[in-house]
Amino acid sequence: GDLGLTVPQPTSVLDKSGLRRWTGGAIGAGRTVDLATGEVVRGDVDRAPGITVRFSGLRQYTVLQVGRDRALPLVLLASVVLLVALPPALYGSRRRIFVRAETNGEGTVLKVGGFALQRRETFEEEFARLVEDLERASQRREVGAR
Amino acid sequence: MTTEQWTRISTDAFNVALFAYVSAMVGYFHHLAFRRTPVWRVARLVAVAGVVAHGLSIAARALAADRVPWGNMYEYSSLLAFLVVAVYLVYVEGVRGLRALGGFALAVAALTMAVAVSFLYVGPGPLVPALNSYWIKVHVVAAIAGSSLLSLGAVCSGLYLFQERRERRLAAVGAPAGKGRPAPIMGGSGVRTGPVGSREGETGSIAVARGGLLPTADGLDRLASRIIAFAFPIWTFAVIAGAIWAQEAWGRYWGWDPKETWSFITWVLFAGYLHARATSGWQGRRAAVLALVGFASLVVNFYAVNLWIVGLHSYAGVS
Repeated sequence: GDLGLTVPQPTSVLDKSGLRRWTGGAIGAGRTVDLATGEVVRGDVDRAPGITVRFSGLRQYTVLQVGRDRALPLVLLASVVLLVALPPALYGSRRRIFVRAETNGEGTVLKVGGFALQRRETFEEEFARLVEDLERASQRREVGAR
Repeated sequence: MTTEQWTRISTDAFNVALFAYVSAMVGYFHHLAFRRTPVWRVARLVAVAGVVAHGLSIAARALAADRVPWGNMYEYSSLLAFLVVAVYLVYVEGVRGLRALGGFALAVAALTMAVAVSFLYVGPGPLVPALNSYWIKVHVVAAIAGSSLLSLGAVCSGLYLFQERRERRLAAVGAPAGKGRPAPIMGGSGVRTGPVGSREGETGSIAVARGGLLPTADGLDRLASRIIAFAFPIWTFAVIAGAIWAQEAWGRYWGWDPKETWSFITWVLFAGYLHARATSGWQGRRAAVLALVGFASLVVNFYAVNLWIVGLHSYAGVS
């Protein structure tokens, strides 16, 4: 039958709706109590008047549900890959830069272009720095050539 | 010392810390409004003293209960508030040199602590059996660290929305600098030209807007994204560690328990935030609103799921 294991429920909480509190004290194992008087019935149980309740014994049991998930190692591997791949995904950026040198009689003209697939604002700064560096480097060359 | 004495020390130090945070918060807001440096110095000192007292409170709690001090909602809240203030003081104010966010970070911490002590307080005691595992050291620590950082990110995003509106209004009436838009000032080191807050580079501090201590909207936007990008892998790790613990404790790593579901919702929202930023260049208002929605789901996951929704994680220790 359904053991109710699939329904999440805290083990420390008992559903008390439909239950009434017994005030006659504890009933030991193997004893019978008369519900009308609340007294323990001694002697011949079958001859007791009224309704009796009997605690015939305590049998301990455990409910076990057995399961097996063959995909478990795969899921673990996937989560490890996810974690390892996060830093490059968060901080990396695929970008491409083109530099073209053309001669136009007087000298060489450098044309610089580029684009980024991720994090464009950061790339714009990087690109501006690159162009500055290129300018500075070419000026140094000019000075050296003279 | 006995358990009672440690409990007493923990509670007293907690109250001292809460009082210090509230006082420091008033000081930071005063500084933000009137820009008196001595007020800021005193406020910072009080906040540091509060952090020290708070650390003492958490340590004493651990000694009183004789276990890790993050076993129920009260302790979790306390540690979270501690981390929010500590990260603010060390990173935002220490590394980034921003004092304007102090009042807001302290307000978040003080509010969390006030809620914890008023509604969630339980005395030190043994752990609920379900929690008694070494995974509590891995999973819960990661969850607290991630949550506190994401909360700080939300503070930045919330302030962004405020600052962005202010800048737009300033731009509409014509900025005092007379260049159409207010020129940002870099931490008092000199006036920079160019569009608001851009081109600050990787090493520089965040640009601060003219006419106030608050960073420019752009600076707040970036600070929020930086903090969230740092917090996201931690949060991811927390969810994974939780799944491993669930596999060990309940025989399944994922069962759509309310806590699991909400942590996944939070994860998806912040993943969306970071992804939209990186690939389609989401910035500013849309990004800030998304970050705040993510923060809201974080709050739901902590308060609503623990207190009002019945699930396997219902061991807040509050009856």
